[in-house]
Order: sequence, then C-alpha cells, then structure tokens
Amino acid sequence: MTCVQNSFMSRLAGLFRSKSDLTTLRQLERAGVRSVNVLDLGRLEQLVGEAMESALREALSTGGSAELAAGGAQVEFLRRLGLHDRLADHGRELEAQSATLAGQRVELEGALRQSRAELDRRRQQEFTVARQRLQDALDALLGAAFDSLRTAASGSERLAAEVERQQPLLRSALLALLEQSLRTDAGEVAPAASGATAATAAHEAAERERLERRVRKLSAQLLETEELLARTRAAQAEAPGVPSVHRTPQGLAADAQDRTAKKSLLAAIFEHNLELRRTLAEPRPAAVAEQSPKTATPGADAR
Amino acid sequence: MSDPVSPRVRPEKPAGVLYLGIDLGTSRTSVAASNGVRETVASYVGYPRDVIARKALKKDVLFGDEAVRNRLALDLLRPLQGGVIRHSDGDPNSADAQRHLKATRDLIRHAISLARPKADELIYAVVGCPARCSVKNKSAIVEAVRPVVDSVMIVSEPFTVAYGLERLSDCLVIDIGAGTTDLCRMHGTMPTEEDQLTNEFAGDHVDQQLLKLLQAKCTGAVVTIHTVKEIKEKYSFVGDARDPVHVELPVNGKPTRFEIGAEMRAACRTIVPPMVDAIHQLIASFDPDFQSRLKNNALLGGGGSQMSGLRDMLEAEMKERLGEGRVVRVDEPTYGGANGALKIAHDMPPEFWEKLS
Ligand SMILES: Nc1ncnc2c1ncn2[C@@H]1O[C@H](COP(=O)(O)OP(=O)(O)OP(=O)(O)O)[C@@H](O)[C@H]1O
Ligand SMILES: [Mg+2]
Repeated sequence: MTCVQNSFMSRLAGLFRSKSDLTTLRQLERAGVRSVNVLDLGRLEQLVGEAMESALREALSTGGSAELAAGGAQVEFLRRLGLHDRLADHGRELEAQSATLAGQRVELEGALRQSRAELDRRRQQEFTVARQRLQDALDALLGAAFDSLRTAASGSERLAAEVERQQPLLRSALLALLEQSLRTDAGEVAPAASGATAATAAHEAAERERLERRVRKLSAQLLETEELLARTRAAQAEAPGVPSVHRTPQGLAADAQDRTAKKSLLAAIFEHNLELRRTLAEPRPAAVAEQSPKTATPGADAR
Repeated sequence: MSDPVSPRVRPEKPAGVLYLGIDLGTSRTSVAASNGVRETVASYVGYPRDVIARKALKKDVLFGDEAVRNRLALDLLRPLQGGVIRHSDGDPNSADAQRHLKATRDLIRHAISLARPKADELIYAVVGCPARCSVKNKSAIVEAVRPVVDSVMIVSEPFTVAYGLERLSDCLVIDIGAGTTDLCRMHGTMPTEEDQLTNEFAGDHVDQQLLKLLQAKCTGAVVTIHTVKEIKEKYSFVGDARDPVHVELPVNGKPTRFEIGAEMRAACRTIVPPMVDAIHQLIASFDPDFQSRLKNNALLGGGGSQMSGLRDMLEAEMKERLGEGRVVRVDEPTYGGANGALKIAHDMPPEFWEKLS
C-alpha cells in the first residue's frame, strides 16, 4: 500500500507540473484572460479530496481493496483535471498490468494443476500397492483355511467338491468388500507411508495451498485492474478535451482598458458578422459574392 | 469521414465556455484557446493520391508539415493564396474551386480539433482571416466552422493583432505574412478601407526571388520552393553587415556547399521598398496632428517580421523619408493573430454570441 501511495503521489507531482506547463500567466494575459480559475493549492486540495472521496465511496460499497481505492482516486483526479493524455497513458499502463497479472495467473494455475496431478498419481499408486498387499494377505489366509477344510473333507467326495466350489466365491466376495473399504477411506490409505514420504506430502500440500492462495489473490487483483481500466476508458470516452478556464460566458471586463472604444469595436464586428450571416441566408445571387477588392481592402466592417 | 471534428450537438447544460482564436493564414494556421492550448500548423492539406497511398499513410487527409513531408504520395494543396481561398473568385462549381474549398474547410476544422475542445463546453470562435478575403470567402469560412462550434465570428487581420496587444489607437500594424503584407492604421475606431493597405511583397515573394537567385548562382543544384523556404527561415536577413551563409544543395545527387549570403539579402530586401511606400502613404494621409504618434508606434508582426535586421532597416528608412520612426517587433509573431482573435472572442458580449449561434 505504501508503495502504491508513493507512486500515486509522485504521479500527482508530475501532474501538477504538467498542468502548470499548459498555461502560463503571461500567455493567459495575452489571450485576454482577466479572471481565471487559477489552479491554486486550495483548488488542488479540493480536487484531490473530491477524487478520493468518490473513489473511496465506490471501493467501500463494492468491498474493493485499498489499491482499488487509490487507483480509482487517480483516475477520478485525471478525469476532473481533464488530462486526457494522461488518462490514455494510464489506460495503457493498466492494460499492460492486467496482461502481466493474467500471465502470472496462467503460470500459477499451471503449477497448481501439475501438483494436483502428481498428488493424484501418487494416491493411485499407493492405492494399488495397498490393495495388492491386502489381496496377498487374504489369499494366504484363504489358502490356509481351505487347505485345512480340504483335509477335513477328504472322506466325502461331495463335501470336497463343495469346498472347491466355495473357495473362489468367497475370495471374490471378500475382495469386493476390501476394495470398497479401500476406496471409501482412500485419503487415509497411506498408513504404510514412511516418515520421510509423509513429510514430503505435507510440504507439497502446504505448497499447493500457497499456490491456491496466490491464484485467488491474482484473480482479485486482475478483476480490480480490469475495473480500473474500464473506469479509465469510460473517463476517456466521456469528454475528451482540455477544459476551458471559464465556467461561464465572459465579455469585456468592467475595468478593461479603453473600454468604450473596445465596446464599439466589438459591436462593429458583431454587426459585420450579422450582415455576413444575412448574405449566407439569402439564396445567393452571384453578384453579392463577387467582392474581392484588388488593392487596399476594408477591415472587419467591410460591407 | 475526412472531417477531423464531428458535428457538434450544443451541450444542454454547458460545463464551461471555450473561446477560440484562430488565425487562418496563407502559410500557417494557428489557434489559441481559453483552455491554454496553442497550436500552429502549416496551411497545407494533402489527400492520398490513390488507394495504395491511403493504405500506406492510414489516413484520408494529412495536414501541415506531415503533408509536405509525404507530398509525393499526396495531392497536396495550399488552399489559401495571396490572402484568399484559391480559385474562389471564378466559377464556384469548378473542380478546382471545390477542391480548395474542401481543403480550407478541412484545415480550419483540423485547427479547431487541435485546441481539444470538450463536448460539454460551449465553443465560441473568432476567426481572423486575411484582410483581402471577399465576402464569398468569409461566408465559406463561416460555413466551414459553424457545424463544429456553437457560434463563430470573422474578423479581418491585422486588426486582431492590434486588439490583442491593446494597441487600438495611434498605431500602425505591419503584418508580414506569406501571401501578403498587410498594413493597418489604428485610431480607436474600426479601421476602414482608407486605413489599410495590402501588397503581395511578403514571404512567398521572397521565396520566389530567392529560388530564382539560387537557380542562377548554384549551377547544377536542385532546389525546390520547399527547400528555399526552409533555408530562408533559417538565415533570412536584410542588414548590411553579414556573416557568410553556407548551405548544402544536391548536385547530381551529391551534397554540395554554396555561399548564398548576397542572394539571401537581395531576396529579403525586395519586400522592403513596397513596405516603406505603404507606411509613407498611410502616415502622410493621416490627420497631421497625429502623424508623429503613428510614426513612433509601428508594430511589426507576422512570420516575415523575423528577418534579421528588418526593424533597424525600417526605422532608418522612416527617419530618412518621414523624419522619425520607431518600430517595435511583437514577441510572438506566430501567435499574434490567434492571441488577438482569442481576446476578441473573450471580450465579445455573450448576447452577441447567442444572436449569431
Ligand atoms: N525566421 C524567418 N525569417 C523570415 N521569414 C520567415 C521566418 N519564419 C517564418 N517566415 C515566413 O513568414 C511567412 C509566414 O508568416 P505568417 O505565419 O505570419 O503568414 P500567414 O499569416 O500564414 O500568411 P498571410 O498573412 O499572408 O495569410 C512565411 O513566408 C514564412 O516563410
Ligand atoms: Mg497572417
């Protein structure tokens, strides 16, 4: 967060510098600007405050992170200052950032898949080994039991045949039961694992958990970056351009130099343009349009 | 499609008012805006010659230096000449007239887009156009600008320059442009026909002269009018004392060095005598009680005013022919017209803007 704040603050500083390049007082004066909404510190504070507030409100209502709030404030600030070049730059940065995040997520997900596949493979292997062991034990047990049964039944041909018929039936029934019990607690099927293998498994499980956490975090970050990108794009589309220093129509200042002379000059310019507009509205007779004096020409009040 | 600015919809609740001052010149079109933006573009418009060129350039229309650089792939137009839209005085429906009219419209709309107006602000523009513009030309400019702003007015140059510098009375403005040198006497009220003189001894004329002189001097060298203009803007001067001027020009494809100081001075000086004549004429025909003030208040502007030594030379000539003379060069020749137009736009009463919108 500190890092986010620092880079945000240094960007702000850059912004102020760039904003002050746009207009010099001299330039403004030349341009005839008398009263200007100068972007002084007070106004800046207000702008930052407003931008922060709107971004925080947004972040709180959607449960976004501190980074989202800071990033949102930055976009909002750029939007309020109408710095569309910066917004465009910012959009490109966010795009790059989101591409990086998406790339990292793909990598992590790959690692996680691999680790899970490895775990599955090992479990399958352990299952096979355990089953074999139990099968062998069962076979040995059944073999011994039926051997003694066979000895006992050696007098009767019918009994001996019955023993021979029962042995495979019993074996397959017992095997099915065993298999079923092995499957149901497959998770705990590793009693035979040695201490060392158990430690590896635990370590791997922890690693998997870490990977899962990272993927979740990256996904959240990606979502927020995309959210910021969308806001930046929206701000860009909203009203591209550089805002004027004037909120309202101006006109000759009450204390303008040569006010009277200027007033009549401005009125003359207006009249001339009104006249011009009338000519435009007329269904243009060719003669009206032909009026291009060859030498000295009248000023704005040309008729 | 080729319009860089899409037609506007007047904002219902305007967030602000953007004033624009535009100087539509033969050589340069400049814009100064109340959002602090100032931009200038050479008055060239180029349209790709064919589909291949359009594909390569990825644009339907190019402006300014970019157009000049790519001129081989373009149908390159300089829509204004000698202060008017080219071919506008003949048949308005001729192909040439239409082409140049379209180029003028594209150029001025491009200039407006350079000011980066916001859609939610009112846009009021003053366009300073060459003093010689006919009513027909002015109407064409109004028609070009109207769809992309909320209100527009046309004002003649060099009145805008004088207004911008608060020199409304007892002042003589000399604006040396590309197509024309315009002189205007300011006496507090709107200048009339008698207060203005225009001649075609200006930047383009110097270029033509220099081209001829260089073709004679630099045997075998290939020189185009574009190169000549570039060289002039770097080394122009009119004074007696001079450093040698060395340039490299291709001869049979090989860059070759030439010293062209004498030619440069001769070409630049060709515009001085007509200018002094005009100054003389405007002063001599002025109210004798105020002539002295006028002589001591000459304002030199326009791109051509940057010729080194010009101010001193004019003062010397005025002293010789008129007994006295003081000339001041404006500090920003490129933006003098645009700044003045912006100031007029700002000062114009809001109700006037509304009536014309
Ligand atoms: N340093 C320089 N020395 C001499 N001439 C220059 C210099 N810089 C620009 N110019 C010339 O000034 C002229 C352009 O001046 P400006 O921009 O005032 O003209 P414009 O307003 O476009 O033309 P016009 O007023 O005739 O319509 C060009 O001829 C250009 O070559
Ligand atoms: Mg000019």
